[in-house]
Amino acid sequence: MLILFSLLLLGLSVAVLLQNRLLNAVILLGVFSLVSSVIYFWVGAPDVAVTEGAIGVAFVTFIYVLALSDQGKLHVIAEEVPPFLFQEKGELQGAELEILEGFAEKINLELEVEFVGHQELTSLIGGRRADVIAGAYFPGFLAQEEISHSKGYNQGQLAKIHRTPPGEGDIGILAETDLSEFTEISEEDLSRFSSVDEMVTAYNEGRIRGFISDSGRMSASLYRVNTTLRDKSEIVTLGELDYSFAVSSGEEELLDRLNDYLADLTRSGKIGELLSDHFR
Amino acid sequence: MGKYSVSLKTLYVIFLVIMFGAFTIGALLIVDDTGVSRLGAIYLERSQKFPNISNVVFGVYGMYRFYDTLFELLIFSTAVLGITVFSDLEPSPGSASRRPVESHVVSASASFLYPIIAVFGIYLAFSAHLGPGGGFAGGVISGTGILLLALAKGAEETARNFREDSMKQLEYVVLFLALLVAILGALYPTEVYRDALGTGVITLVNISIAMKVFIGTWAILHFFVKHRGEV
Amino acid sequence: MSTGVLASAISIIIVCIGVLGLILKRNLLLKLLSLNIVNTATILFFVLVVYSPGDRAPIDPSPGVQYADPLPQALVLTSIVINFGVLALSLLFTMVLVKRYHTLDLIKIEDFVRREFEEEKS
Repeated sequence: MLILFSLLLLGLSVAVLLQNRLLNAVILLGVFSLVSSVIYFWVGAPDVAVTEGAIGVAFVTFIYVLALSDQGKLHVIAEEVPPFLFQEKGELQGAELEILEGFAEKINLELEVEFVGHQELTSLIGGRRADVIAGAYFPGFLAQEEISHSKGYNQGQLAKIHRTPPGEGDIGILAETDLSEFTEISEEDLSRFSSVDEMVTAYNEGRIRGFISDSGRMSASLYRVNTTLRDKSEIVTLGELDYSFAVSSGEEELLDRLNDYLADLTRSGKIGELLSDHFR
Repeated sequence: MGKYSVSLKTLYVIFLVIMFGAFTIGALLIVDDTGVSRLGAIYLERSQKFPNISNVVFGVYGMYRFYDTLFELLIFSTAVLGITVFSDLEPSPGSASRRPVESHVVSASASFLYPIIAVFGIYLAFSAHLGPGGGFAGGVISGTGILLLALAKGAEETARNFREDSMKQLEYVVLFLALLVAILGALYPTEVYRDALGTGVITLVNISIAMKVFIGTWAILHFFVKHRGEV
Repeated sequence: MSTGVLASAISIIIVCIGVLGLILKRNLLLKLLSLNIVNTATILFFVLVVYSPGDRAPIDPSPGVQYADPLPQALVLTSIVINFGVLALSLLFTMVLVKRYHTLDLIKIEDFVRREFEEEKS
């Protein structure tokens, strides 16, 4: 009988290590402890049996299950761009938030949004500290090979604002944005800024003769800084772009699921309602 | 680096492990005379003279070899200390908003079951010298009761009810108690220890072990309930 | 050959399986599970190797009756609790790593750490 139980333990230990799902392995480990506890009782060691029963069967299993109880969080980093994704009175709002919430619910993760500065985005996603970049991301926004982007969910334009009699100075542009797809302004004419707000201020102070940005970010910034452009300006559309999300290029699985979810939204027409709610 | 295909090194390690198993089993089967190595026979004999310790296993870890248990408690509290330090260093971001289980059945049965579990744990701890159980199991079972409470009512509220700060101080008091028992045993010869202090020392041993394990378990639990779902 | 020795030989095999899992598995949590198996199997070995059929639990001993050896039992009793504490601590470190690198795969974590180290150096 003792040998039989020991063989059962042997089989259970192999079964634990062959499991693909962690939760199954944890539960099987609990059974393993239970059988060993029975063996202790069998060979005249009731003290060890009781302790193993309390710790090995109940407690260790509980701790593992608590650690596993949720497969973690979908960690989203974003720049704050109304009405895409922003904070108002301490609450998150925006069109992207609704998309991401639905996505997180679909893949059983908890959504966690963190607003960071423009320059931190690349390093955070490269070091795998975050899963998704949001906040009016568009392909070419960050010139990085380590990032792959999803399907677009909304159209936008890349626009250039400049004074009508072009004066002195460079053209302002966001740091790390790659323009090669849209225009052929050489790198020497460009000066890099870390946010659109700074560019608007610099433009009004006359330090630059114009700036390039995407339409969503530009209107958000003009609204937030609450100024009009001082001089007589002209807006030139450089090209169309698709607002989308970005993930680290190692995460093909996450990207596929995100693309599937966006395709579902487009097919069911929900995305239209959602966008018309937020972009009036 | 990167690929984890079976390399020569891995094969070597597998070979070593299998050799270890084969040698140990071979030695076991050759010797096959475990009756000789019954070191515990002396304790069995000796505890027949002690009328108030009927559980010889307790006699070994609570009396004859209490220093082993003392250092075991030290190791355990070191592990718990590590967990407490981390718990203080990295406060869980979402802990405040995390709600407990929203089920009336769970919360009602938790407040009903908790006293029973606690009393059972205390019983096991205090009757360690009489029957199976012991301070380790008793402390852990009381801790399981706390787990139930923490799951039903939320980790924060449970921590408040059980006065986390004073618990932390109590942990060291209990360790000091265990040290005191050990020193008492070293100071007095066995006869005096048995007759004069007798059952009182046994109770001290029981309490110190059970409280130590209980507080440690509770600290571990508190951390894991607070930070649940981060793997 | 007594049943105790045979059963403890089986527990040695379980230890070997656990160690192999500890080495070969890439998932950190599965490594911890293997460690748990090794712990339990070692305790099992200690208890079983002194067992001979007909042993009674060493409670209220009287002369002339065959009892199980209390010494290994008392020693492993403390080691169960230590294992538990160590397991909780290592699970905590796993959680810290997962929070930082968002993966349980040890090879990936090693790559990240190496890359971070090189970035720091340059």
